[in-house]
Amino acid sequence: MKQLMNVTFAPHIRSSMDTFKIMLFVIISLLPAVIISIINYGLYALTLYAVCIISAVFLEHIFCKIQGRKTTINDLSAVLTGLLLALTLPPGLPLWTAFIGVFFAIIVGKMVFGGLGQNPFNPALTGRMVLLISFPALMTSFQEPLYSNIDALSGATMLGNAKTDLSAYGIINHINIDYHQLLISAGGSLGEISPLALIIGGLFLMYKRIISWHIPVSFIGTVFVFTFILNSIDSNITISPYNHIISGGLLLGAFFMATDYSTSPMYWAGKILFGIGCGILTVCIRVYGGYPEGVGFAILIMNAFTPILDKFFRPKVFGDRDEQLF
Amino acid sequence: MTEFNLKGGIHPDAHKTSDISSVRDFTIMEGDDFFIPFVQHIGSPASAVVNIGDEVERGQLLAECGAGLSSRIHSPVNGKIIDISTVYHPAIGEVSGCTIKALNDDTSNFKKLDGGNDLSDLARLAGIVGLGGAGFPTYIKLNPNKPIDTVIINGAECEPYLMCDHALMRAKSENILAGAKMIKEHVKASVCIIAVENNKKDCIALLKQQSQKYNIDIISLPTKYPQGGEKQLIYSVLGRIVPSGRLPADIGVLIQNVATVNALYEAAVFSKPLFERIVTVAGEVENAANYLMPIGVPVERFLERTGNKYKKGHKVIFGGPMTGGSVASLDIPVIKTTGGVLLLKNQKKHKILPCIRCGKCSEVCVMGLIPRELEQNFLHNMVEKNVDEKIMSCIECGCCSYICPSGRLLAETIKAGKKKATIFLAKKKENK
Repeated sequence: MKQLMNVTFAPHIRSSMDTFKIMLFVIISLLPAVIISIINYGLYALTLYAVCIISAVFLEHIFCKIQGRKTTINDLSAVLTGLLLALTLPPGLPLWTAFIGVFFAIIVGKMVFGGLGQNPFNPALTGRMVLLISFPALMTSFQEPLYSNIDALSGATMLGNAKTDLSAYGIINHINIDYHQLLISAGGSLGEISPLALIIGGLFLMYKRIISWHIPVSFIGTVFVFTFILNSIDSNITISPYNHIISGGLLLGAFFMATDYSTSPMYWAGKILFGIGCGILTVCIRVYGGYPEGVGFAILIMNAFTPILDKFFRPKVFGDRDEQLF
Repeated sequence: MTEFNLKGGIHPDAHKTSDISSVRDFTIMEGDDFFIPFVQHIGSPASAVVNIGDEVERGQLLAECGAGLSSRIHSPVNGKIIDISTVYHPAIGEVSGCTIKALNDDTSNFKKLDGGNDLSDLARLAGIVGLGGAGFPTYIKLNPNKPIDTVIINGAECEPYLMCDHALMRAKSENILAGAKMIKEHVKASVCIIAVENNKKDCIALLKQQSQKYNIDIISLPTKYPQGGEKQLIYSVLGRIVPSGRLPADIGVLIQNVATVNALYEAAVFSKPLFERIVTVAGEVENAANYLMPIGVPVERFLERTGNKYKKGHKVIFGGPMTGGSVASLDIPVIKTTGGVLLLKNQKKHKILPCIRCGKCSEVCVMGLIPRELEQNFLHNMVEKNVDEKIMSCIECGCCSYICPSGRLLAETIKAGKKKATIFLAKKKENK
């Protein structure tokens, strides 16, 4: 043969959507929420984001070096984990606390299992839950957003308000949120204050086919149906389904955390069950549990069911039928 | 439009830009060498019936069917046999074959076939094989041992870049309809459908104009890869599912590619054996077009005569970019199953990262498999598990590798896994 050329296997073309781009698109879709939180909480919020992201990248890099393997920070997943963790933190959290959260998110939540794709639990939520359990006071001291104009709210979050109302007076002071208040709603964690920004981000990810509709729709749908039933039985059990959906990080969790590739089921039936499970657990914790907020715990608990959901709900092989038919 | 929507599949950039206004002729020159492999089909090699030094006419028989599944090979040129030993085949390397030196550039006549009682006999005599890419001898398909009720003519051409079938349907729509009618009558089917992807609206309109006369249905399919896969096409058109490990004939369907139909028509009406086909040249070339190519022309000369140039560092692919094989040398000849010759830029060596469990590979898999698991099973040498997970159902379309954001070699690994699984199944059968 005259000339030996480069020979490769088919297929010879590949989709341009690689891991880096997926992470980049998720980060882009979170930007509206980030910007609105910075507008409302000022420079300190920006510092908190910066500390979380930089320390996440730094810790992942160091850990890879200690393990003696090539650094994996180039895939942007550490940036995303840092950003997601920051979005779940209260705006006034001391920076050292945030660093501890990042440490647990990156090292304990992700790297000890082998890095991206191997972790059984959502890293950002792991970090947040460690902080919530270790520093409950710091983690639940919320400020009111600068530009929020929801009156009738004595505390910062609607869910926290409802819990204190219930224990103090036995009734709930129902708050009406207008649609024009969706851009900047009640206070809470950095990422919680703008339901509209989160919905736009989530829809963008669905449009880009980075996430499928199954988990967000079944998650949010279940929360709506469950709280609607509870509310119709007695309006003093919990706040309205609409307020449930736009508060307490449900949108953040349903669009950006429950859909995390590594920790959620891969096939559609499993995804829907996963979403329903998350929804039921969220409402149970919010209404009957000790914490006012349940999305994080619900997702982490359902993460544990992911392997079993993947095992039992597999796609059907095309043409796989009983041989007796022929 | 059909009501049955194919699950999975991908939408790669089409790149269907080659000139289809006409099918161009390839000019043969005196003294050209033609390398004719005796394996251009699935099955055993054909055995030579000519000797070194013989002068052969265009269309003359060079090699008769070998034992078992096989097909005949005819000369594409008036020439002299200068060697009978081995030549290169695009996919399987060195095979038995002959080399012919062209004595003149005459392409006006060819040696006609004689005999042929019915269509399947004619297909055997003319050496017709499936021109869609697989190269299954057509005479076997035309002799089904089960009753056939529907004939589907595959004009989907879902691979990017390739336009050979598109050009053919534009140029020879009448032949295809007439050929389809012949097949329908031959297998006594009640329905005959020509299925075309809806990115070829001109072909659909052209075929529809004349289809009344031949009583043939034209169906437009949504554009999606791999719409033209045999089992996928049957599902999209009829909603029937071919069971795993079975053939379309088992559910009463016969599938033929449009190019095969045209070859059958020409064999039946003009007694013309199969020694040329339409080939797309596309990709990183100056003149992307479709040529009526005699078989056996090495790529280098093909590119040169069509006004294109091989640039160093490009990949040469025989067939489409999703399933075609890249070749190692410019001496490799175009054969019956070569639908296209593509020059593609050598991609940067992409990084292979760990799986991130996005599930996209199983989302796009048209066979409902889980490529990431099949890959892992293969890498951990779990052949039996792969068999249980129906690795043999894989149609090797390459969608999983295309979509994988981590750049994992899924389809490539599964192909290797299928080889191992075949050996495993054969051994299991022996032990029983």
